[in-house]
Amino acid sequence: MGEENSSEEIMMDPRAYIIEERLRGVRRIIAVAGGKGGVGKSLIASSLALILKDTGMRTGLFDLDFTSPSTHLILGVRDLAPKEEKGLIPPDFLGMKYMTLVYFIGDSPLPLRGEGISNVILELFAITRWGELDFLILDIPPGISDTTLDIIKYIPQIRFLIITTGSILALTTAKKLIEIVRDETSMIGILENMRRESRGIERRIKSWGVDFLGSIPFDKDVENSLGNVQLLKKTEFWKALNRIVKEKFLNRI
Amino acid sequence: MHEWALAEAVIRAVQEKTEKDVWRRVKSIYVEVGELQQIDLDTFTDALNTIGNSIGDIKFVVRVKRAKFKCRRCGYSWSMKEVDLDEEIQEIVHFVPEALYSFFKCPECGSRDYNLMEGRGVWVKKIVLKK
Repeated sequence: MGEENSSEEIMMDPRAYIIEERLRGVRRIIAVAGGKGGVGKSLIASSLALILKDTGMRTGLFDLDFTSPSTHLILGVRDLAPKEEKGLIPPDFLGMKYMTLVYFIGDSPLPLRGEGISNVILELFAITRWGELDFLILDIPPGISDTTLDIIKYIPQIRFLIITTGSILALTTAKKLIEIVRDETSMIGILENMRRESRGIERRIKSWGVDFLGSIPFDKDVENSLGNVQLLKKTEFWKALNRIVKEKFLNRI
Repeated sequence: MHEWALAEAVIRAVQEKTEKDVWRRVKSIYVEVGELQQIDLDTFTDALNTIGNSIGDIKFVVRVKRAKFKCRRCGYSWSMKEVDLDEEIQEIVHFVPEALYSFFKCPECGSRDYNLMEGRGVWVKKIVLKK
């Protein structure tokens, strides 16, 4: 009745606005990251999630390495699918909630450029309902490219656990990642994987002013345990990580 | 009911974009839905109405945006008419449109390196306010 309307032409992607709501019930979100590929991020993310679950924490694991997912191979996940209920509810795997793009694409190759990666991140965070969790562990691809920047952008409460080996190649790139994470968000610390020499990298890491959580010795039995969690839990790798999680990691979060 | 999750995102986005006093004046919201994702428009509109009407008397106008693709390798452009997917793959693309790159190649040169130019996802296009 005599009302005039005003309208605003916009082009707004609504997905980013619902992420906070989708993660409201999640107490801590941790990205397992590294500067280089092959340092064991996915193995540590998968194992960390299971160790936290075994301590009684409500835990989720989200594989954000869309082009090279591997947590399903490490854990031996088969024949699982998310439930569709006002979005997607991640299925339970060994007592934790587990989400991966592999549910949709299987082992088909998925070539993605940056914009595609950002779209998948937004889509999955916008429609996945995690419910109540103590920990959500994110396995992310290496480096300081799209996924790293997007999770920093969309998940302000994110904290990074950085994985490196003692190799100069891994350390140099880890340092770059640390600089970005320090500037933009917060870090739990750095963990050395596949240590081969008796002297680790602790002193160097500390000289960067970063918390050093510990070293996991190289364990040749890990390869044969891939796809079998029971075997994985018997490895020296698992025992070392378990110790670090309980003695160091949980004190820093 | 994945449409529900997207409808929630639309409402939340408009709420966050508008000031509290402005939100009360929202009369209608125009939403554009990309053809590629094959959103069920009835379910989506029902979800928008259910969530929206719990907040205020808002009219939702939902339109479909045709999908357009262009190959980065050979430059060929195409529409959804040339995207022939079986039902199972359609369901996957419904949830994650980028999954198309796993299952569909450029009809001209066979490359998977192509751009989705238009018609992806859900967009809030216009907000009309009562004076």
